[in-house]
Amino acid sequence: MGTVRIVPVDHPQGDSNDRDFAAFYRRELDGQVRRAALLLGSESVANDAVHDAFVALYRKWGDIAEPGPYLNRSVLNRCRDSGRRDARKRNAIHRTCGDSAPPDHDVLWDVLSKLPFNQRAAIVLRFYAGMTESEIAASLDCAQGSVGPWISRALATMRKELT
Amino acid sequence: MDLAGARHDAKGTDVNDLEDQLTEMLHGRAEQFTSTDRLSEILESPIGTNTRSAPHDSADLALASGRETLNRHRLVGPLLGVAACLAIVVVGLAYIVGRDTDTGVSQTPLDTITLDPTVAGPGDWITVLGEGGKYRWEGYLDRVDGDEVERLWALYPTSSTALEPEPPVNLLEQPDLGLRTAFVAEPLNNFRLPGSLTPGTYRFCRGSVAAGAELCAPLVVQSP
Repeated sequence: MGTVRIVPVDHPQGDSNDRDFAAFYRRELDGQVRRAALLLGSESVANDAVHDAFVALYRKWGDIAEPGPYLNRSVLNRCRDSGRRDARKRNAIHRTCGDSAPPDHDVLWDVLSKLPFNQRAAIVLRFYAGMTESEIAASLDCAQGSVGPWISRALATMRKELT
Repeated sequence: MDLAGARHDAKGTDVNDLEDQLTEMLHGRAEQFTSTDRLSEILESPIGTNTRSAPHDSADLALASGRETLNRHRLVGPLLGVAACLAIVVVGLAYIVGRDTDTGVSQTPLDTITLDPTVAGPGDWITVLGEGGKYRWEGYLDRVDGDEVERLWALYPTSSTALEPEPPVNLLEQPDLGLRTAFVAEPLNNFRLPGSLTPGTYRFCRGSVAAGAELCAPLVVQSP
């Protein structure tokens, strides 16, 4: 007589999916949060944005062929929305709690923070994440031809601000 | 990096130096940010919930309490936008309709007009058969004496149920009468003849006094 295996009835693939998702989560979490924090200037807001994106991804897990690019787009979209909606909130937290306050004053950081979102995102993705222009375009869901000018304008603005 | 240092560096360096500074600054800055592991919340939470962090200090608590208010306020903009678009559409339609009526043209132009009755007395109602619609149009009354035509009255249509129809205007008293148009929501094809109209041969014309006649029909006015 052979052994009896107990197999979950409701979601036979559930455990496997969760394991895959967990591995993906562990692999992506730090990088996504840091990238989002560089864009948002706030660790807590970045954690919220990234985890909202993870929740959305988890609901579609298994249906998405390339979860990495999907998560990138999702996080960046949330950063863009969060930047529009919660500017006041972030400023208040920044003033009150020092949540995102850097320990030392950094003029480059200040200049970067003032750039328009697309330029700021292009800079972070290029110089922090090391993405190519095509990868940046895919992440920002824009034409590849837009990325180069964004980076050039951002660098020109920063150079002007620094001189 | 302090302000003076950054400025000094940027002045005396080229693009690559700025890019190097950016790369160094971003990586240094990123190291200061840490992630919070909420995997168990994601896996265990029911669909529809999020994993947002709880308010962690007084400022966040105060701001979190105002979040719903902010959410409601966020609806105001889109709703105002939709209302503005609807208003623009309505005003545009009214403008188009008004422009048409300015020229005395209804939406259903006719080849001829027929009056009922064709013989009437002062103060009587006349109806322009086949006309009507939601768009107001004007008419006027000319006295015809042989080849001579004298424009005497501007008439304004009204519904037969109107308690106080707009009175006709004596053009001899107001020769510079301009266009008068309006948008109304009921069929209008009834005119009331002036009570002081003297007997004779007239013609009723459809159209505005200023723009001229489009179509006319004979009308005989008899003594009451």
